[in-house]
Amino acid sequence: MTTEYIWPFWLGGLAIAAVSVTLVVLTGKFLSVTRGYASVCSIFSKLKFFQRPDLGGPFGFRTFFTIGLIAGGALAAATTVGWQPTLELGKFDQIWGTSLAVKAAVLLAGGFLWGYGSRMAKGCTSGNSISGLSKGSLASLVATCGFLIAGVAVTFAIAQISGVN
Amino acid sequence: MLRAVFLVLGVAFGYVLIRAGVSSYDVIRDMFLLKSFHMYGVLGVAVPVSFICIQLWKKFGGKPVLGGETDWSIEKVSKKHVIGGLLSGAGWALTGACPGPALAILGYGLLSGGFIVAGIFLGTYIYARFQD
Repeated sequence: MTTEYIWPFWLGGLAIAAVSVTLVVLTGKFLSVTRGYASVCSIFSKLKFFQRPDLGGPFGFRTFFTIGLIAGGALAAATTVGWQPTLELGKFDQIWGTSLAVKAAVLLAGGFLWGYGSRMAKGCTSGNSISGLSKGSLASLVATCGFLIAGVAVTFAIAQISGVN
Repeated sequence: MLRAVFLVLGVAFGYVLIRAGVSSYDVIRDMFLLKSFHMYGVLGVAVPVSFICIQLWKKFGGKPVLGGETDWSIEKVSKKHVIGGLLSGAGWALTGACPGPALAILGYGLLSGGFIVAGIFLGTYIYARFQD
């Protein structure tokens, strides 16, 4: 991913706030990407956990948000560098090597931790750090601290072991 | 209508997550290595601006434009937020992407995002499985 199209931090922050606030003002429902994942799960699974009304049921509104995120990424590519599919992932390849099996295993494991952990903590960065904090939720502050503390610890450990700075 | 709004704002959010730089593996890594200010700057603007807007809107009634009620429910702090937060953070460090950016980079053309997305679905499903 090239860095020349990355907005200054304040513009990125304002844009994220604009989307999250617009969603709430229009619908009364807060931004939560991982609820979108759970909503997609409800299409394929009959588990009671996925039948909560807030997910909107199979093909509910949160499913559409999930689809939108993929389309939005494609739009960003199309309007900047063009769509250039690749399996590269920045410094990841330097740290873990270029073996596709290793890459798949590490990313699947990391994704699993995200999926499991964020259901447990009731949200990811969007659900807790943006939405939850905007409601003044202490639990979201706890979860956000968890994201950052573990993120720093694990990243430093990987940098130490791999020798890539 | 609700679906259309979520679809359009989903597209907007995916676009913004790429342009804000928060979907880049290297940006996330440099944030956690305390080498780059960018990501802290983004969150440092997005969080307080969202907070102020939402709290002001709440003061003025907080009625959704499209009708219905606003979901003001707040979770009570529990051990789950600590453990879930730490597990998620470890996942963030391994993948360099949050669940939103994982979908956005997949659309952007960074196909490795597909592994992250698959992992998130698996983790979500296994957690749900243990709850039922």
